[in-house]
Amino acid sequence: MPVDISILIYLSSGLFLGWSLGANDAANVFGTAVGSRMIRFETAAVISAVFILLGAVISGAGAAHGLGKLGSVNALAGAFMTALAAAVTVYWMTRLSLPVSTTQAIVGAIVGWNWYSGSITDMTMLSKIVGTWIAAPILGALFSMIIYRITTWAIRKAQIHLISLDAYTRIGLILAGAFGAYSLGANNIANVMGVFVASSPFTDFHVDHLFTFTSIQQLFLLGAIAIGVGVFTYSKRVMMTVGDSLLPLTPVAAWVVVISQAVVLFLFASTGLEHTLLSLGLPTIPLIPVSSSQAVVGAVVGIGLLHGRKGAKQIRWRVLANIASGWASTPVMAAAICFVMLFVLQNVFNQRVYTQVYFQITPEVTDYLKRHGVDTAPLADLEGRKLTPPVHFRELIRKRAHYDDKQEALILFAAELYPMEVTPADIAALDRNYLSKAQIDAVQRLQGQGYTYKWQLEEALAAITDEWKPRPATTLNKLYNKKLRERLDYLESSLHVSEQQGDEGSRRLR
Amino acid sequence: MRLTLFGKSKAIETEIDDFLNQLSDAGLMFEQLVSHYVDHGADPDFDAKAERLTAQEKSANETANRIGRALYTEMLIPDLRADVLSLIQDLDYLIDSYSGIATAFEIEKPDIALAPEGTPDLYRELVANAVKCVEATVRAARAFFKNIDAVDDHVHKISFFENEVDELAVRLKRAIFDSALGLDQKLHFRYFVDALDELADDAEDAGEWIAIYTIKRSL
Repeated sequence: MPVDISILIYLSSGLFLGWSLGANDAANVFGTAVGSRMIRFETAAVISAVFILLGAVISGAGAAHGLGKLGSVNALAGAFMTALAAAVTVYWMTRLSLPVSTTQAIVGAIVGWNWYSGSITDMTMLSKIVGTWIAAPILGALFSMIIYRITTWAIRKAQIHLISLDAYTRIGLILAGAFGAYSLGANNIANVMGVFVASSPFTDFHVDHLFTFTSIQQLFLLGAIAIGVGVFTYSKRVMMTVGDSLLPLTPVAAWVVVISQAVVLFLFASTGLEHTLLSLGLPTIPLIPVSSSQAVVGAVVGIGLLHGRKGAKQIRWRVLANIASGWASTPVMAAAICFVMLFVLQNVFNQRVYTQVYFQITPEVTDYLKRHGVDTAPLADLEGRKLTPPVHFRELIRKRAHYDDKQEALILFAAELYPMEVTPADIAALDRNYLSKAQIDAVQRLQGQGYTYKWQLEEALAAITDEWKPRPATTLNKLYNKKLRERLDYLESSLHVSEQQGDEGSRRLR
Repeated sequence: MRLTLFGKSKAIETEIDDFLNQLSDAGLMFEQLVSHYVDHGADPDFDAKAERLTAQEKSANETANRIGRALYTEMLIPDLRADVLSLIQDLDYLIDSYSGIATAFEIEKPDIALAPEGTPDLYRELVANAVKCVEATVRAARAFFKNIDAVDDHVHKISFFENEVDELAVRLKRAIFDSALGLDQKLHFRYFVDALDELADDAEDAGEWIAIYTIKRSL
């Protein structure tokens, strides 16, 4: 397969983003261990790199069909710039030794792209970020206080020799760090590389009949290597901020911080846990937006506050203020950089940075909306008009009637033109490990059909098999419906026919 | 890797415990030895006791060296290993002091018969308090390793005994210099008082460092 040189150039920003992520986010996992000198930086870097790699290739690639956050950016050049803007922002924050959330930088950059392309920004996403700045540190602090108290009580009771205690702590830090690095790789690789999956320059290769190393796995391996290189070359300064500059930590406190952060993320951000609790008929813990970068800082501060006035004095509040300002400026900076650079890329380098998304209300759409309880009378005069960009379309809707958020989202979804064709080649290319047999069979039965709207395809599929049918929107079904949505997104992007002929890049991008 | 790591930690712990026991035993030997000298002078029994103390010192030195090597070759935690090594060296210096004072008795043979009245008993008290001071340091060290909350109590006791030693040393020196002895004798006796005063000072210094290491470990 000939490799398009522009793909490699585009890929480079993903790699840069991976590198920045490694340089900044590894501190969440090993910052306190290195800062408290319990683990050498080199040891921490090797463990992080290996486990990030494993997480990215084993767990990350499994969920690769969710394109990650950048998936909403619908042109490769735009995705390139969005990733670059996020990467530059995180790099800058890393230079300032500030732990920030790479995800928030990416979301910020996407807002910049939305702003430039006239796409709609999901405001709940932004309020979630702000919520994270408050909720994550508070929960981190609370949990580190509780866990620290329990741990120190247990250590006193057990009268463990200091040398053994440090050996246990060290093992604890290594294990926690390895798990943390694994999930860091698994959760973030899609954000780094997901958008390039469709244009991967690699091909699958088989080792006898033993195993297949898919092009996605190769791409993710490349991304994971970039993250690993980031950890090795540049992560020490942020680690020292988290583990030493903010508050010098004892080895046990270092361990408590890592564990508290993991517990906070597990309890408050895990839909899997929510699902398990519900399945067992137990009450659930409300899901709160939390991020590990913010939880770690909160946990460190919590340890300080636990020691009363003496501890509070030890906390370097200036460093904390810098960190907090870094959190606030990260998404703003990413959005601004992205917006400016998209302008340059489009007007100076003549690249198409977004694909126009059109909306058209047809009688079928009106019918669909009516079936879903939306009053379509106010939209009658829009019928037949092809409208773009999304913000303009939304504006027209809002001028005509006051719909609630759910109804508005439904109208936008129903009216979005997204031409798809079910061709034999597309069916053959579907990932049989990702979709079930019944799901593939259903797609097969639609061979030769064409659809203008996503919901048309979705209804057609649901009519064939229950496996394409969403379940009633209860909390218990949330995880199932989310996974189904990811599969539908994957299928729709696979069947999508771009209006601009011959543009392979946008054909595959949602 | 896990087993080896814990195995090595256990080995170092055992060595540290042995070393602290050796220091404790050396204190008891020293007290017996000085008491014997005050009562009987440098007789063969005294020589045997001095020999045992020297052997104990050698053995403790070897243990301290082994701990130092193990800390630097097998333990990777730089902060703790530096603190532990300094602590062991400080304590090793106390054993050396015991042995040094015993050797001085053996070589210089201060004439107890000439000592001013009451001073031998005062001297015995001085030795007992100096040894208690060192023993409190050993307890503080043990607490640092196993029960960090108790360190403060022991450090407090070290200061108490060091003060006692100071007071006794002053009383002894006054008694010596107020007597009709020649200056050479006075200076000779003073040397043995100063040596114990220094021993207690060194024990107190070691105790202060333990208190600092403890602060480093408890926040």
